[in-house]
Amino acid sequence: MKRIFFFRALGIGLCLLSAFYSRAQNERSTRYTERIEGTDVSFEMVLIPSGTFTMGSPDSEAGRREDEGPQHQVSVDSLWVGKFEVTWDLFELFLAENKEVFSGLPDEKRMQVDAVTRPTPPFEDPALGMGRKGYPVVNVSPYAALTFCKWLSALTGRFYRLPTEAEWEYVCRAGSQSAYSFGDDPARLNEYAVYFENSEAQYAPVGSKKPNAWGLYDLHGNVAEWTLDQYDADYYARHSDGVVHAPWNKPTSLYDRVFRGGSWDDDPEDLRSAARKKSGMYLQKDDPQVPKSFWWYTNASYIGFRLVSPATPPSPAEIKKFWATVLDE
Amino acid sequence: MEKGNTNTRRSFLKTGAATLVGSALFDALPVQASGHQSKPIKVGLVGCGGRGTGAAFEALRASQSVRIVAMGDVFEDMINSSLAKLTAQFKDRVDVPAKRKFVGLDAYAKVIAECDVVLLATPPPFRPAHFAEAVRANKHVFMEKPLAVDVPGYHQIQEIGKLAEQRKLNVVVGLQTRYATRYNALMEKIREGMLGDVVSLDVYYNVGAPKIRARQPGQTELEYQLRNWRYFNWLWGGQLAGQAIHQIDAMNWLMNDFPIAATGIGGRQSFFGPNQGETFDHQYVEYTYPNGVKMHVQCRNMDNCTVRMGFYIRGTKGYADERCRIYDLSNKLLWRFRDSDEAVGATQLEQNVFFNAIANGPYINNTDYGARSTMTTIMGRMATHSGQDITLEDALSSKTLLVPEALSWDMRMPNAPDESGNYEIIIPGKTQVL
Repeated sequence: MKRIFFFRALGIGLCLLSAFYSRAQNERSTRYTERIEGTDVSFEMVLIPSGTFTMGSPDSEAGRREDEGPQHQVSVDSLWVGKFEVTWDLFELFLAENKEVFSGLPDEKRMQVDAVTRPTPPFEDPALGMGRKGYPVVNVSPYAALTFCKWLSALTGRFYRLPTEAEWEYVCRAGSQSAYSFGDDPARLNEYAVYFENSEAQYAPVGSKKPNAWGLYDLHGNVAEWTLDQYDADYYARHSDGVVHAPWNKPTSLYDRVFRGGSWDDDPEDLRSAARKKSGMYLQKDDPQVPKSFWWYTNASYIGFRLVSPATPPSPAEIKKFWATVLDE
Repeated sequence: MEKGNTNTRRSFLKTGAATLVGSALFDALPVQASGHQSKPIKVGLVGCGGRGTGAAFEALRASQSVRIVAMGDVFEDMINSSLAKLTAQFKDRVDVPAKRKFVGLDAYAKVIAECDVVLLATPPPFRPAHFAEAVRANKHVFMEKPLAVDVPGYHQIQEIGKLAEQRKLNVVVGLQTRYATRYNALMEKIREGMLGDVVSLDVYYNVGAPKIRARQPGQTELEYQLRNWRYFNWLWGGQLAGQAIHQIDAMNWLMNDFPIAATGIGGRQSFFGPNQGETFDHQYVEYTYPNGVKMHVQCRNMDNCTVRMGFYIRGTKGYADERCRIYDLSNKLLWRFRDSDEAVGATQLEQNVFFNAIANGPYINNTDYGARSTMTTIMGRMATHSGQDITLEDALSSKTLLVPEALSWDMRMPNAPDESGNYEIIIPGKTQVL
């Protein structure tokens, strides 16, 4: 399929940098809380400094797979990163009737928010009865996650998106070189991660384990996280010389997308900082209809996502181009 | 078919490696992978909605020999939209020129005449007639559930199923739960005794309201009802048949038996007006199996309510649910199925089995359990509609036809609306079902 996503009319273009929206934080601090006006929902973002790191894993790492190499140097710009995975509490606002929830917003803002296409209701409970309040959102397609980011950007006036695969690994590692951000010993996973052995067959509320060195929770485990990148097993081999700045393997098809971090349903080796997973039709295998839902997956109850926002916001033109690229507008 | 992971997970079972009954019973590989590259298999599709189109995709993936050669529907736009999707992905194996696109109430027979294998995926009231024609014409049949909406339809399906068996025509029924690897693994664990004796079954099919296809100017009553089919009992069979049959059939499979009595309640609380026809939006049925075990089935079609499609199986030693987890009575997880390694779903597996049976054998015929689970749902609907306790024996003697005997676009429908466009609503205690 040539198109990244099936064509979806996404309404009028959005002017995202009308950043007059109130935000309860000092921009120069290293964290802020985004409060969604008219609701009691908020989420926290942590400022991660720019830096250079070694992406991928060495041959010697236990459980290492071919696609994690060659190791190479990557530099990443400073960015705000969600302290937690996106919760149902926040995502459900996107599903709600905007007009009711956000009736207090100025007309212009409400129009921008309303202009973003929203998902059709899911047929099944995408949470599979695992719980909603305080729990991470799952079973959403990358398309749904990105459309949510666009909606949230319109609502808050700040540009939110998924991390690139490189950004994801950078913030997961938090300066570490080991298999996990806390070291190499999977025996310590229980302190830091919700995974197969300790999950009781379901996800946990976000932030139930220890954070990494940069104060971010659940990078390892709980739910795996979507990235912006297409999966190519040999992607790292394409830029092994010198330091690569802000790589992004732009998707050219619906599948395969990279998701990272492992989940409540995974074994220790799949939770490693370098471990890569790819999406595919198998994540919709129980959707009996054609066309299958663009929004909801039936077999991805272990994949959610985390928000990032570049510390230096892109220009309105760049943002417009970004949405056009990732949402195939 | 791509795999999710770059290497294989250690195991999908928490407690040790076990032989997976699913992979033993069903060849999960597409047919061509087993080395058979025989002459093209001509496949026709009757009913070109989302499920029929899905089945056609899966047929194409099941065997390289499959060619889609004919399509039929009562509406031309349904054919065209389905054909466009199929052609976009399988250009070389979809060959449906205008002369093999059949539109109308009699399209099915014309499709059947053009193919070796037919996929029957219209709404269920037409299934007995379509199945009869396919077997009469000596075609292998994949047919979607439910298989009928009334008792005469059930008897007809059973009769034709026997004829198909005599003629060695393969029949696969789209109750895909029976083909799902995870449910096979769960059933095996339960049969091995992990739950002890099964004492009680709960089934849930609580989802939102079906999409409304509002009446359009110029439509005849039949056309409107066919477009908006999920709001009419004769077209959908009601929630038990149209939706909960998956879980009900799974319980019948587990029990290796079928309920002999039903009692239940139901009504319309949120459905309203001409656009929502005459179906119930909630029902509860208590079924009794011959060994006395009860199956409690709840269904809801209301928006903004808790959604669950599943089941809860209680045994003397523990319980199990649709996520294929088994717990002991102190809520300790004993076993769970881990399926994220499997690349394809059960609707694909059932097509793989179907086309494998056609190419290589052994012979397969799902008609009996498909029909009997359909009958379970019909009996349940009789109980909720009438407000009476219904036995299987009484139900099986019903001569009531929900499906009009002859259909024409301008016919007067037996369930025609009143002057304000509203339909007669079933009232338990007044409505006769036997």
